[in-house]
Amino acid sequence: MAENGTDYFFIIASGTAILLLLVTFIIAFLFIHQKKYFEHQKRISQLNAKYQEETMKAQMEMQEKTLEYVGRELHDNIGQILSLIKLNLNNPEPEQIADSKSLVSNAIKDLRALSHRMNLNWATDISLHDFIESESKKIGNIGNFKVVYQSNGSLTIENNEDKVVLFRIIQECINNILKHADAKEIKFLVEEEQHLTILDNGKGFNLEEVEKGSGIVNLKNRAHLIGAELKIGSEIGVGTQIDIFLPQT
Amino acid sequence: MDQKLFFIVEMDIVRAIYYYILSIAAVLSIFNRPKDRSILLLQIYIISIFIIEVSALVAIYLGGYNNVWIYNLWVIIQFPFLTKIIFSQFKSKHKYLEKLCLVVFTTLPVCNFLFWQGINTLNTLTMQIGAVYMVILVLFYFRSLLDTPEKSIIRNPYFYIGTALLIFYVGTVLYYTFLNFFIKSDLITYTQISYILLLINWVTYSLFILAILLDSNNKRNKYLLKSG
Repeated sequence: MAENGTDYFFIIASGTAILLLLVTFIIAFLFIHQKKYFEHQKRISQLNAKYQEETMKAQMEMQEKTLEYVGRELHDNIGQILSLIKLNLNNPEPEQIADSKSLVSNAIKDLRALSHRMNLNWATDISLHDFIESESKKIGNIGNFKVVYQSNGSLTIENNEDKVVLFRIIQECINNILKHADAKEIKFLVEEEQHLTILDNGKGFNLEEVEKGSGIVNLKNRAHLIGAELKIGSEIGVGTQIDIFLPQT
Repeated sequence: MDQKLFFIVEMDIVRAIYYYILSIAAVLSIFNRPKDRSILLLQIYIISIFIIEVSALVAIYLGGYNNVWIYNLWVIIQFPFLTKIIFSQFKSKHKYLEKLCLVVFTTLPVCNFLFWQGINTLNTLTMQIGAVYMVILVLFYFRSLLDTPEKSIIRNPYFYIGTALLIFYVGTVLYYTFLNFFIKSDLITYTQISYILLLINWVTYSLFILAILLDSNNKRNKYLLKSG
């Protein structure tokens, strides 16, 4: 009977201990998971804040570039047309008046194009293909480069803010080529869905050295923010290749 | 000591509370309309348990004919049910493993029911093996929860279902491991030990109720968010 009582006590005690351990395990698990959850939430809000900051920065840069372009256009193009019109009107012969009319029409057309560029929501209306095409035309117009744009796939970004960030990344790549590459040819290739390659035949650079600088880190960070991946390859004397892999839609 | 606590059937208060909790869970299961298929499975599971328990009470009331076969049938179907519920919550779907578990935990109980322990003896072997399997499965589920910290588990109904199953089946493993010893002891001790299992049932079904209420609440919140 005494042995039975001891066994009975042992069973009850071990059973209670196991159940208590179980409850402790569940409470500890709950705490660990909640800790992970709060850490994750914190990380998400930090990423969101960074995303907002980068988007704002990209938008500001786009705005600045647009204003710069508008200023240049006003000075070099519309200013010139207006000067011509003024010259024509000094001697108002019918031929000159007709010429002036045509110049005024051109000025109106150019002003419309400018106003379109100044519209801050223009990113909504322009597709990625149109943007790359217009950028390549702009580079082509400089005259020092052969620019090739080939597209066999589509590039799509749903979110307008992400699109502005991508525009900024592409412009930054172009700027780097124009400033540092000393290239004769620039290629924009879309050989597969959601994959843009920017190639140049410039002097290239040592990737390890340049990667330490903030320029490439910034580009990669921006790409990461919009869910894209940016890969850079460069060989001295051969050129540079930048691959941008956009998120699949 | 015995009182008429659950309708017309005489029983003690611990058992009666168990039946009341189970009834609340069954009523909630009848009226809650879940969008989630796994919660629907849980509700069918609870309603089935309620029907089986009530049928057992009726059997006792009518003069105590042997209703063990009903429990044995239930033991056969409960593990595939719970397997479906828990596997639905794994982030990476293990379809092959799920199928394997479903086949094993349907075949083994059926064989035990037909050839080994039989129809009229409580299939303790199935319960013990199944309980160990359920504990392992729930622990794997908890492990997978740690890999998905995106959602708080405080409002996750499946966390409470997992907790309920873990408590219930650890209790079941302990109970059936020491069952022979308890049976050998005197009847009062055996009854008192059985109360522990009833208390575990209180916790289990209360957690199921909480899971159903949370699911219903989450559904309402989603609706409110959608309707702005």
